[in-house]
Amino acid sequence: MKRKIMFTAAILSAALLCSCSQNAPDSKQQALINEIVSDAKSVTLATEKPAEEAAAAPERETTASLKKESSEPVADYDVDIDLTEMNPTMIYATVYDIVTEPEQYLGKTLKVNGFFDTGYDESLDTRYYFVVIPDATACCLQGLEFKADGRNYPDDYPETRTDICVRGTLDKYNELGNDYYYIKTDMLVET
Amino acid sequence: MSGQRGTPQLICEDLSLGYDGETVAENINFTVCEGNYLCILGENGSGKSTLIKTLLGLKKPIGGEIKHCGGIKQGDIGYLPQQTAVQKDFPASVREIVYSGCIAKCGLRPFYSKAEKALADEMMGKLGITELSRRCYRELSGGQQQRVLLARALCAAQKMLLLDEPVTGLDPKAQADMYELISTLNNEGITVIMVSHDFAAATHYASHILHIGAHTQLYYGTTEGYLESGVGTAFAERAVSENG
Amino acid sequence: MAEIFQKLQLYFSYPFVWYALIVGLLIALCSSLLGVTLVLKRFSYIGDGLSHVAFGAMAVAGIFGLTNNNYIVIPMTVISAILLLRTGQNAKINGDAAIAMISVGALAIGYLLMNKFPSSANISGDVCTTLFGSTSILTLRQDDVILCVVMSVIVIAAFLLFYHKIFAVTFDENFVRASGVRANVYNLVIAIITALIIVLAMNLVGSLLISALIIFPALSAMRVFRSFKSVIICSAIVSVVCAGSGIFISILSGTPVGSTIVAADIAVFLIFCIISLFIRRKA
Repeated sequence: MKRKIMFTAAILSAALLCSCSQNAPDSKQQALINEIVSDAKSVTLATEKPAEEAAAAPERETTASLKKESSEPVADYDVDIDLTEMNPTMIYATVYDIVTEPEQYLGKTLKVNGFFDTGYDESLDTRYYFVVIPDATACCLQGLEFKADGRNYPDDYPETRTDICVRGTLDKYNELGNDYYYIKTDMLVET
Repeated sequence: MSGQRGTPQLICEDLSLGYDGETVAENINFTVCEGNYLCILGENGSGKSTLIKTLLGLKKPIGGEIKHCGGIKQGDIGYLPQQTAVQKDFPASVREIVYSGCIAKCGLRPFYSKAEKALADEMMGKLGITELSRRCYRELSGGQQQRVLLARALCAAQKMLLLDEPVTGLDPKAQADMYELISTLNNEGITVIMVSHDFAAATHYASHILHIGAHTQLYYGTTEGYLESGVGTAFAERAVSENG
Repeated sequence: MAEIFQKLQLYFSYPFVWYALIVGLLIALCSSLLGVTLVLKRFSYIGDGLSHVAFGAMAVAGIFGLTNNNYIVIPMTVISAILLLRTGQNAKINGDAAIAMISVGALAIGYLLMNKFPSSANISGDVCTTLFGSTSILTLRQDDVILCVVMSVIVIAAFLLFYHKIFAVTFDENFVRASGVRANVYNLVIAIITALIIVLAMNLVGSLLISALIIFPALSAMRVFRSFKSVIICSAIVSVVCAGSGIFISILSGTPVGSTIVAADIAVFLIFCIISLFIRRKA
């Protein structure tokens, strides 16, 4: 009887899995990620949508062709941390380590698969871009912020929740007295 | 079978036994002297196991007192308890089990001294189980297992043994062997207190009988006296009729 | 083969993989030592029961929002261990019924509290991780590792110091008491060590799988070996080897760590069963 109760409890708690975010050390990113995630279920880009679709179509064609060969200025190189070659367990652990001990990874190059998402902070009039990395059971999400110079939103960016591959160097910036870590992107393709 | 000899070792005066506030038996009075072979008889539930636990110091008597003398202190009694199911299937070598008899001598020391190991080896030799020392306990027969436990009890105390139904579950040959062994030990000077159901064996081997029943002590004295007493004859008849 | 080597080399350049291995091996060692005693005392479920109490304690700790949950989890688990391992003798509530009551109660109330007072945004993820330990061993910080090493040293030292007494108390508690040794003290030591190990082991394999970590190595060893000492040593070796290989396999093929280790334990148990058949036939 006890076994049955435990088993049911385990199944129930597993079934209650919902997409949500990992505790990031920065509260601002945390708030934004929370927002993104709660939006993620019912994505309505409303007024932006028609414009985005039109913009996305040609963009998708160009970025699709970027998949195999990079027409970006920087040629392909061996990154320090290639998360695209790792299995889900290691990806989760490595991203967690990057998020919790970012100082150790400053200056390292990395390549990561995930899906694209973006958030806008009205008070600062700044838009943030994220690559969101789910774990194997899609139970836990982690996100890394990235900045790609020379791109304009929304034309040069993929649609939200599109699978992307981001490559770049880990760097940090300071906003309102806090350090934030991000990937200084030199390659962003849809996968 | 010898009469009363040697110095008194254990004196129970007006003992009242029980637990959780309930009295199981009262007015228990007896004396165990050096070299005695005392057999405790009684029905199930008469309080035999409570008496043993009290003698061993595992329970406090409700009333009366137990006096230790003649060189015996509390804890100087080698105990052979009834086996549990867990033990019958225990993965331990005979040597490890016999060594554990010396556990009280170690105090806080985390290992056994040479003297303690020598004592254990001597006891194993005495009981004829030295060849079994490396064997696994659960592979032994019932009689061999009891001998191992007896060796352990002797390691704990060399002067007095308390045996709780030592032949339970043994086949008749093993039972007979066990009784002979205990008798030999008794003849070497070890005081024996045995709890038993076995009327025939008790009256054959023991020097003294303590019969508990009806919440009190029905008889204490020599075996000869017991056989002639009313209690003894009644018990004998019942035993005979039960055994067919 | 060379590929695997290369991959391992790459993975081991990350500190968290080293942490996982160190902690994993230590926990496996400690739980196997105790596993033999617990299995023989017929307390195999205690791993389950106590881990659920620890889960509930974590939920309570979440309410207070402490930096390190262990300050509440460890005392609560130790107290429950003492209560559970003592009721075996008193039998007003039987040992296994007591474990069932406390363990299910803690699980339910813990989950309730976690929902009411969430300590993070991701409750279900945390619950999932706590119950199954999917990746928690790979996300350890340095102070977690230090705490684990210290506790393991304490456990192993206690076990070595009290080895003979633990054996005696496991084999025959009544005899030990009759000899004048305070068996209760050693039962207490066993209870406290068990609680510490379980709190640690929740990081490795999660609550639901802890019992496996405690039981399987002991049972495997008992199939084949004949003295208590050899059973303990074999159990320790089996446990460490399975934990190590479980961790390696899991980081190479992306399977969840806890389940992989338990799968390795089960495989070894089956192997030992087969070996024991051959030994019996010879004897």
